[in-house]
Amino acid sequence: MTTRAASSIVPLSEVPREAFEAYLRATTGFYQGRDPGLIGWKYFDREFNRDRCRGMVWMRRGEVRGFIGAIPAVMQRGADVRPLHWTCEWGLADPKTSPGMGVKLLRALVGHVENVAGAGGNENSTTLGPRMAERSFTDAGLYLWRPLRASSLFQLAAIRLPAFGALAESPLGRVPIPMWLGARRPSVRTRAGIAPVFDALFDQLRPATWTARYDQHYLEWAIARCPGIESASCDAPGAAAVAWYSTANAVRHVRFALWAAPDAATPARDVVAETVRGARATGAAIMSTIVSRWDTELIAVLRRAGFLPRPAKLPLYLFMPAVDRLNGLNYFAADMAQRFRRA
Amino acid sequence: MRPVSDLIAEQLRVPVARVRDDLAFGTIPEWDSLTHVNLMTALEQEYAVTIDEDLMVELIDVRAIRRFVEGAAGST
Repeated sequence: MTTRAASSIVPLSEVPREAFEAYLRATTGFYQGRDPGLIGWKYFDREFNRDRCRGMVWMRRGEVRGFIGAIPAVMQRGADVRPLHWTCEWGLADPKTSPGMGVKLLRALVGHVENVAGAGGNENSTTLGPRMAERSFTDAGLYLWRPLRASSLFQLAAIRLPAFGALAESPLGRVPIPMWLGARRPSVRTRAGIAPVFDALFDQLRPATWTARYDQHYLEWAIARCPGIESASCDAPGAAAVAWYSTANAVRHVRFALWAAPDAATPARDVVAETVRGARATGAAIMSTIVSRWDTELIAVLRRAGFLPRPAKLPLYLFMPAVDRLNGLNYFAADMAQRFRRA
Repeated sequence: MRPVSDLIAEQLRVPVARVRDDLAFGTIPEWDSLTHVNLMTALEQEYAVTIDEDLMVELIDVRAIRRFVEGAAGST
């Protein structure tokens, strides 16, 4: 017995752009009141997309009723490089009347592209992810942060004592927290935007276990072309970092990602110190980064540089067989790099 | 073929006595999105029917499922 087919799940490339953008604006609070070019940048950047799948859409009677996004990257083990797809924005227009369609969307994506993984995410990801994944980890990534101005400490205190919230907004909140960053190293370079140094560094890395990997094109799309983001790169032989912040937020939160070759702890330390110095110069109140809990060398560098672990951890869901774990987690996993809260 | 109540009870992992006509998706923790998809797959296999996305979002309670299965049996 067969039934009529007014409903289908299709790749995003087969869906009218206007209908898709209208769906995301209506159903995803993140886009409301933000730069109107964000959706276009995220899903319709031809230079980044290069005909790769950017997600699966549930169409019903000509309307977009659900979506799961895909962000193409690669993963590497030794010299073996394979496609990797991060999930993002997994949701339905009306979950109450669409039972099972979130599950169908994920299964459609897993069937359509190679090697799907999710990190963090919305309620769909955190409730269905662990049950549908081949492997899941509740604590795959560590959030490390460092306060740069008093306001970040006042905001932390305001969680228990709300009166501190007003102090964070006051001139007292702008007082820099004293810190010793060491002498500037001539080997460390800092440049605005995404400096052309990352591919050369990434080519040096030959991780022994599967590790998420990006490239210059990815960073230029994720950061340099993203509306409302300012960035800077910092590098030394064997290590590099990119740091960025949202220009829309009054309280400046600088995020960064750090990469280092094996045995490059010293240049990594110098790059982190210079990145912190640069963040302070922008007036940032706080800095943060994400590191895989298995990337112990990077964690050690960051902890020695004064970064503190947050209690919250980043979950990871692997919807791919034969991959035990995935290292190399940072803000570039899924779409976390650009998901700044309004502040 | 098994009675549809038995199959629903097995998929939801609830006693058959709880499978009444008004039992619906989302009304008990056992019947969530993932269970719903698994239930639809089990219905397809057990009763040799095809359930597309349109139908999947309509078969949201025991009454609708029972009617669908009875209709499918009557049409063969």
